[in-house]
Amino acid sequence: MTGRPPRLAPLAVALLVGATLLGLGATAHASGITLGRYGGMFGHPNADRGLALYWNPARLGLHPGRFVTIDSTLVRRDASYDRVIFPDNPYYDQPGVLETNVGLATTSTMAVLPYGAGGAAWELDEVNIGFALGAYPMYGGSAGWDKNPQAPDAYPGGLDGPQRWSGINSTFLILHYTGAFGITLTEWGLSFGFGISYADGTIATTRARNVNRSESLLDERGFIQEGRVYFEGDDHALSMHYGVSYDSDTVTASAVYRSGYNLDIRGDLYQAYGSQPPVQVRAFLDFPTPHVFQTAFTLRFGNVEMTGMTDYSAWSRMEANNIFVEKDPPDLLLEIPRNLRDTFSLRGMMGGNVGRHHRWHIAGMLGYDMSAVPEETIDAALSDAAKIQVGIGARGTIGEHLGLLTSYQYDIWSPVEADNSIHEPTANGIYRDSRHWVNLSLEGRF
Amino acid sequence: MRRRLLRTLALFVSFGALSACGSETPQDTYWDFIDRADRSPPPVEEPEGAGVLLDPTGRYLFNIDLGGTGLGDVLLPLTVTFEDFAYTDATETEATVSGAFRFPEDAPDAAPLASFEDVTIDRFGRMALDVGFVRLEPERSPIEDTAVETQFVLQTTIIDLTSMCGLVNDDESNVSQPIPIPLRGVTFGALRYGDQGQQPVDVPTRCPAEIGTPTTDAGMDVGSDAGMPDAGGGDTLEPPDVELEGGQRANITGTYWMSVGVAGGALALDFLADVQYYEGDAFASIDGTLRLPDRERGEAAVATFSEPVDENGEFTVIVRNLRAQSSLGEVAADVALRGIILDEDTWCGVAGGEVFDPIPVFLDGTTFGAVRLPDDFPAPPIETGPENAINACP
Repeated sequence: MTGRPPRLAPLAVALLVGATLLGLGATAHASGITLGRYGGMFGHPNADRGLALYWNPARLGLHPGRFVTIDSTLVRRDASYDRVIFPDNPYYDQPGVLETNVGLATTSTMAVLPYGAGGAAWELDEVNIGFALGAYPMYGGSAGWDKNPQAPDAYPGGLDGPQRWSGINSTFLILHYTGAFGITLTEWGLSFGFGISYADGTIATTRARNVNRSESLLDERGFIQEGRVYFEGDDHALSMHYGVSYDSDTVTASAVYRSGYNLDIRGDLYQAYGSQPPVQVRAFLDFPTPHVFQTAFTLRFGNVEMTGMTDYSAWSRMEANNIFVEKDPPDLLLEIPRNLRDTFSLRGMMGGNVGRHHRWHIAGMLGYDMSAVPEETIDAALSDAAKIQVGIGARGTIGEHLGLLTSYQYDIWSPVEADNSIHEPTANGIYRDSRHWVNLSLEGRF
Repeated sequence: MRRRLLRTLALFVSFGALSACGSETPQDTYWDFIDRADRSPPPVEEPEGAGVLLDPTGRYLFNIDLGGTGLGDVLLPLTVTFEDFAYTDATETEATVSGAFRFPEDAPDAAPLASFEDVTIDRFGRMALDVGFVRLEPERSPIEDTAVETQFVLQTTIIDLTSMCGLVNDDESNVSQPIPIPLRGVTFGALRYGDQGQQPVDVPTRCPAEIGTPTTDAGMDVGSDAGMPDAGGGDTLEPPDVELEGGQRANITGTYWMSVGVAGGALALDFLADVQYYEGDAFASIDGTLRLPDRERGEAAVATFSEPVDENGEFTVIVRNLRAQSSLGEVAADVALRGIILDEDTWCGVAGGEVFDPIPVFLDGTTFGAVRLPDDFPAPPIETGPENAINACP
């Protein structure tokens, strides 16, 4: 009942930590936790071959031949949360509260996002068909916040930083194992595709918690009141995505729809309140993912190419990340409202072909992304903001069989000042964030 | 585990190995706090002294402090209605009582949350109120919006006519949902509702450090600490041999302002006296508690007593080692009272004995009087009594 939980398989920990703990956090691209930036700046529904597995299965049959794509994105995150509480907070005057529950929390992390896909396409009479198999993290996030060594020893919870009531250390990852099929009507330039993904989600999160939802450090008698909760669980689901594309000499246009799904993440919840011995119960949380609709439109004039991309994600499906105790009927144990908003983002990219035989293409990108997280529910575990995205990149081929994409993108997050938090304890304060993305994508063509 | 391992192997071992080095996992973070924080639980505080066997019939507001378990400041208020009080034998050293638990916002006749029947009250006023298994729905849970399933036994002590207190000290009492929480160490206090149903305020959450001793006619020496008042007969302490006239038996149940005046004005003492009057075919008696007016309800009484009342309404109360604030400051005294009931609102008498601290003062010629307090009289702590206060028989 009270023993330590078994450790995850070390490599699983490695994957989780590597993909998320080290820094993905709430990431870019039409909401806080979507990881899909495969292909970097050149990743969009007009991508083909291996990247089409993720971006648009309709384009898998476009180029006959076999292909293997290995894509890697290095992400650097620098975030801070300057927590405030107001004098009407009942614990504002409690000794230690201002020293441990208020002030600046920081996190700076780095991670590598992997993407792998392989497949083949065949040319038949006026029709090309293609398929691909692959795997990649679809959604994820983490918050591994810096310690606060200045916190007084008398309040041991303070070491975990003022943001600890929202999150101390969290990892969340949904891996997609995807198979997809595409068909291209070569005479018409039209392509259609379908993909199915097995989504495997895992979450592990620790936060400070009091049984009465307060941020009190000590009880009236001076005994410790601050506690901790730790939840780890997993679940899986299926997701479909459908794509369509049109190609001509000067125009490429694509659209893709990805169905959302609900993860019923079940696992063990460990709790230690006040001076009570740690206890463990079975618990679950619902984690819905958004329906996503994306488009891309590319125009080519000679050596110049312009691409516009849109993304609409129905994040409003996620109203809460509440954790319930497994029983009939389930008991609400941890209430974490989200009330996420649907998001819309767009990016524009323009570039030109350069070099001998114009085998290289250099481009710049500018984009805008809405925030999925309203101020009332933003917290250190799930933050988001309106952001400007800028980037520069190049693509080309090396020899006959190796394609290469590389790009650098920078997300400039606007600060978010929250003063109407509905969390308990509140998560008011100023959130700042920025992300650097460096992508390298190699594609073998045979 | 195998699935997870295969999955991981399939997905870029090198990537994971590269990025995982030296990182603290959420699980590590959780156990790190458990290991480094001083999470010693509060000690279970058994009150010193003992209560008194009194008829608790009536409605009490219990303020149950779950923080005694180490959960922090979490309170569970419950109303307990006592009824069907009865002594189990002629010596009146044991009794039984029945009753029911309800939520304070519920009407007194609403369906009870739990009930108990014929619970034994011992000679020290102790009883075990077994709430049994109850489910507290989210809207009534002490943990906001979270349903709680629990079972517990309240070890309750009657302090006086208006207050009780106690704790949970068994290992079977626990919360089973939403998480297992042993409830050993929970403390509570309780105050009686007003005669007009007024809900008590500032109900304590635990026993005072000391509880008044039981009565001598219970025949017990509970070995209370030195310094505790000892209301009982002594070898040499006797009230003045004065004949009081005009007394009668009358129901003086209620709260009184009692003033004591020492001959020559050497010192003056005031008390709040809670009195329960009983009258049968052949006997009458009073149970009572003396409190200091400037103290909160629920704090230890300075004396309790339970004495017979003769057919002339006369009674005797002996209090040893009484400590109280007076016009001389804090005094300690052995006091013997001889009183009579004048009517349902007034009783009075004479007192003897000796103040032995801070200076010796013999109490010969001391008188006292008590008048009933109206229902709207301010609750303690208070400094002055009613305008019609008396310190001697008229």
